[in-house]
Amino acid sequence: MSQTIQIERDDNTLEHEAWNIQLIRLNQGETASKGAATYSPIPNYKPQDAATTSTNNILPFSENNVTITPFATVVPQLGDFSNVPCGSTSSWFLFNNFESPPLTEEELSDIYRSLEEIKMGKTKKFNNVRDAIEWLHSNRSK
Amino acid sequence: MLLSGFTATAASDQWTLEFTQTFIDNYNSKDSENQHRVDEALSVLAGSKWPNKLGQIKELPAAFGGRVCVYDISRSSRLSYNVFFETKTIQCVRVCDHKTVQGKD
Repeated sequence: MSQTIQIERDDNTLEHEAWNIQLIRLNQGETASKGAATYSPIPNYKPQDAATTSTNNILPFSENNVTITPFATVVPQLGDFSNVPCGSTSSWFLFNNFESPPLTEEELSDIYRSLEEIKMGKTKKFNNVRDAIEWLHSNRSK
Repeated sequence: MLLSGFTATAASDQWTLEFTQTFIDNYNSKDSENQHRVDEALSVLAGSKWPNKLGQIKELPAAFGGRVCVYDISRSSRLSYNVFFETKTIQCVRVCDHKTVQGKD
């Protein structure tokens, strides 16, 4: 005698999965497909816009033969970001009109200290970025 | 709207990077993930023809004089730098985390 158990999956879980898949795809350097404008990644994401349906929320399996029916793969629809370089983690702010906060007292203090260091010649110069980054990493490990 | 990296790197020249001790200390205090972000930001800036256009300009108080550019690495971190076209130098002044940017604990 077989018994079927149905587990309802939480809507939020699926939406988060869709969201993660989308972020992974973007981080892998994929450019978005053109013309499919449903919801945009960071930061205007609206959970209600996620392409999930009620059929995705049920995960049926049989108790006897323990075969699990895979639920429908959620393929998120991407907005039109075909011109945006998605591979760069530092390009996140291109998705919105992020206004950097004003300089704080601590920042100003550090900047002043840095300017003094520059005047005193206490700086390190590099002619190319590769050497600079390598030095920063080696300097940290010391 | 800030210019994107590939826009500014249309015809890039080589820049000299100059690190202050404050910047180096800030960098060393970051975890590896944020260090990677800083590395990437440095690459973008150094590969740009107009690195000053990649950041937002912040005016410094009269006592300091001048201004500084800030490049937002993430919501929680940003890099302060100066650009000198005469010497083709990018002075990396400071890189700080979220708490410092927001000015609260």
